[in-house]
Amino acid sequence: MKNLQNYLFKLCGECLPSGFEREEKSVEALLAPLVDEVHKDSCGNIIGCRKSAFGNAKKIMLDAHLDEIGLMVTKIDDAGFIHFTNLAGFSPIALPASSVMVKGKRNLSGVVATLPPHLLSAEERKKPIEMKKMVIDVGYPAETVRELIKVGDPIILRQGCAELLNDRITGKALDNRAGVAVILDMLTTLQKMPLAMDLYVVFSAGEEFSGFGALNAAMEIAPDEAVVIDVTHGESGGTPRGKAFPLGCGAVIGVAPILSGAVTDRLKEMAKQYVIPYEMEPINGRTGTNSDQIATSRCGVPTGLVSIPLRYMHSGCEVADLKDLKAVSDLLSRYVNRGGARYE
Amino acid sequence: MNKELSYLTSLFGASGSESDVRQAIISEIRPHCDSLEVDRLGNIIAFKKGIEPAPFPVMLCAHMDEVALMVTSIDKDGSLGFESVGGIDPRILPGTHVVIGKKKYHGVIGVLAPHFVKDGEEKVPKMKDLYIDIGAKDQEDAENYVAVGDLIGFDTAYQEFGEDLVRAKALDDRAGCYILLNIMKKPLPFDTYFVFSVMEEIGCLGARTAAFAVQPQYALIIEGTTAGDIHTETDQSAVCRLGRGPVVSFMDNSAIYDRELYRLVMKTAKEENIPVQAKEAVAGGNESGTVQRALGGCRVIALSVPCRYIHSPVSVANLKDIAHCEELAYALLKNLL
Amino acid sequence: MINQLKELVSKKSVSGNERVVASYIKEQILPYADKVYEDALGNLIAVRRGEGPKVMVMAHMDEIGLVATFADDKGFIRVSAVGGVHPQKTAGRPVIFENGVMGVFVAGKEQKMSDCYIDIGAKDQRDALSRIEIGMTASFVTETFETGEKIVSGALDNRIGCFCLIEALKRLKNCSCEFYAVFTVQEEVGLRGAKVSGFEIAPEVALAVDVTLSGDHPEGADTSASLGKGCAIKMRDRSAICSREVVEDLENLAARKGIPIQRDVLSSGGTDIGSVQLLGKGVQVGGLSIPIRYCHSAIEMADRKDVEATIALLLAYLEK
Repeated sequence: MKNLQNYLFKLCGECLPSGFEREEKSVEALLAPLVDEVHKDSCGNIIGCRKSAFGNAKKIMLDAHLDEIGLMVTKIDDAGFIHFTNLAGFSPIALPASSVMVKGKRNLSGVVATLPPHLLSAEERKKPIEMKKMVIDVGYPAETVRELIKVGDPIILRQGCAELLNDRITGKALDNRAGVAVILDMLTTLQKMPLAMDLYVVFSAGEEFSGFGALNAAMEIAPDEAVVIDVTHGESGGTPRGKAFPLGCGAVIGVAPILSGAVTDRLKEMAKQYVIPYEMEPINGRTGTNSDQIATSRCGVPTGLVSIPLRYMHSGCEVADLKDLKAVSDLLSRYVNRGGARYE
Repeated sequence: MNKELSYLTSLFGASGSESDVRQAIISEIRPHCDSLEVDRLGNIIAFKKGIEPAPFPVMLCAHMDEVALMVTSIDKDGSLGFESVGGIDPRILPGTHVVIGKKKYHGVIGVLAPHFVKDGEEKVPKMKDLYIDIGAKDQEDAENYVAVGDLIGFDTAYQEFGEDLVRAKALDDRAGCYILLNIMKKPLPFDTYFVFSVMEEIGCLGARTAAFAVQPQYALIIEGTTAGDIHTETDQSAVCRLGRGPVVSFMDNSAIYDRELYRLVMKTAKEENIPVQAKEAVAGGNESGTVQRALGGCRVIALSVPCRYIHSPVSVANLKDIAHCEELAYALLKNLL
Repeated sequence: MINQLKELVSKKSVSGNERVVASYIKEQILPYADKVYEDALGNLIAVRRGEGPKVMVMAHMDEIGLVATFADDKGFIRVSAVGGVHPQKTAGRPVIFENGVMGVFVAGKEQKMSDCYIDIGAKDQRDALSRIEIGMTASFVTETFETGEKIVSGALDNRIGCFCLIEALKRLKNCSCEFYAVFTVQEEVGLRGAKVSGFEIAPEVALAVDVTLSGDHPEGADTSASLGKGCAIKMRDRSAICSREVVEDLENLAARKGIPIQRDVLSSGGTDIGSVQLLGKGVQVGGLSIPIRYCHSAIEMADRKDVEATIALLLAYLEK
């Protein structure tokens, strides 16, 4: 689990909001030693490949999205405050008083400013704060801000990772660096083993926005099957029944009309056989993850979904349990090692 | 009684688990087609040669799946929580009989006795508050029979009633499948692909991969569409009416249909003396949009059987409309190229 | 500029029914392209051969409008919106059906689309249906004129983009790429034409020339785009995040050639590149936007300097 934690801490330190994934270098460097070849495509996906020991092997694609939620600068007002819009995934609830980083010519730290309650009417205080009423204060006069920051520059949360009790980790962008860390950990496990399948690993761009990265990658790779690794909701106060999973419950395997029964059954079988803790997550249609895009690409790709429970998703204090990451990593390495799904 | 339609509507085929319907259709069409393939998502793509070869692929499409429910939780008392797969109004559900999973266990959707509800305090049922009773003692007992993710279908018997009317579940779109089956059995003017697609009700997913495989230039979608002819107000659209023939759309939420094909349908109906009605609303949607905009684009038109109470355990259609829809689709094929 | 724009605007083309404007544009561009063709949905595609990557530049031909759904007993034509029609912006406007029948667009008290209708002065249902057919589209009648540096007209979204693309084709001398100029259909109903055209062409770079909302007037959009400040380089809208490389290329070119530009960040709205970004094996996308005021009303306003800047930047990009 130390390996996973190391990966996770490194990955969560990266700044990769949707659409700005092409600028990073270090994730590619983490992946390179674990695969035969690695490249970055034109839309920002990082694609790694390990060839099978056998010819004409079927292709399996593992996908975890690389991007994180972000904001975008829309205006710099005359007092130097930065006005912004949602780039992808942010809800206004978690924003007020957050520490953020604005990526411009120089990276500027700032806070999301809102009017103090003293200045608000009783009526206004009852309402949620709208995102368009918030601004970011970076502490410089307008001329300096305009010099360093331009309309269209991205903004992300600043929080780093921290350890909590019981192997739990908190931070920003665990959605879905947790998935990326799991794939890296799994590749470490598989490193010395010959593979029965050609293994394509995709750290995809743009999931929080429209899923364009996974779509493009699936079109290019044309896999015979795919497994998507993403996060799902972790149980905490107020989460609805059947929609959230307790941290530490293991790998959460999705079952949904859009997901392949063969892949799902095999994942479940592997979990049982190797005594890996798991839960089933019923989803009544599309999954809202990259599996939707991949499953319907080309003439169809049998696709499975394995998720990691995550509390407080899309905030700066997401919480995951390393034991769950380990379970997913183990499940995937067994799944790949045993040659993927069986079809009737 | 129309045995074939009765059989088709009696099968269970929730989105993503259409295998019963698929098996039934395959065994019915195999003698009539030149090649047949089931793609990775489960679509049936059948090809039948015509008198002439077609200069490019022409595709007829109807979807096999139906709206359904899915088990999402098993509670301590052995009752089942569920959600809908496809659009279902929860207000119609209390008191409904259902069948669950591959083994088809019987269940009922519980309903609070009216004695417990005070006047003026009636609640609008929400999906998350409803539950299914399968008679299990407790959670452990229920788990012996049912798992989360199992699909739940409506338990409705096929019945013909009134003047030419039929009541059944899943008329959307087994009526379309039935029409395609019949057309396949006739001699065709040119080579044609027949697609029986999966997962329409959760966003036309099957049509996407089927269109990628067939790469059609012309597509004809056969659907069941909402008839609102239970309204009596005159300035409100009925959308379409039972007994007035197949419905042809100029535009809905999924597509703006090809204008020339729209005109051709109207002209063909007139020449062949088949009743037809324009869909008098821009509402709903079907696989047409998906097929129209797959790959490099395709000319598309939809013919629909008007259905009342669609997406409920009891949908109602007119058998003559179904017959006329089949006639018109077949006549259109002859005029198409 | 104003004369050609008048011609373009006068050819009505509600989404799904773009034939008239397409044939006009086709006539205009035929001498300036190596090949011109239309696809199954009606996209008009002009190809200019050149050495270099495949670049697709799109401008949508369609405009918002109305479609007749049924005629009630008294002969009022009930309608649905085609694209983003807002009754509060368009109520009381004269409209014209594709067969020339005129009428008035009337909104109900609550200005809900479902209460709106077109009054063509028919006696009753039978009379109404003898004059128009169910499924016919109607567009808003508009004027096109200049005031100061500004151009005012209906359907500037996106005839102004079509105008830029036509001009680029006309003025383009040394094309440094395989240039596909695509006049797309059905943008206003969900970026539909671009999806099939993008798949068929499979470009390396796709650009959209379209309008954007400006924030420079009372109750304007929450954006910094303003009329007269130059071509607006798209960063994102609700449909797409633009590729960094394309944004940088465009900005560097503008700096070198002294073309005025601004940046365009829109949290609402979409444009054709949104469809193209989801295609194939990854396409780099970008947008050149012309800021307009009063978007999707029957009368919109743009600045001619922005139009000239957009044409100049597009040419610079194609010739670089």
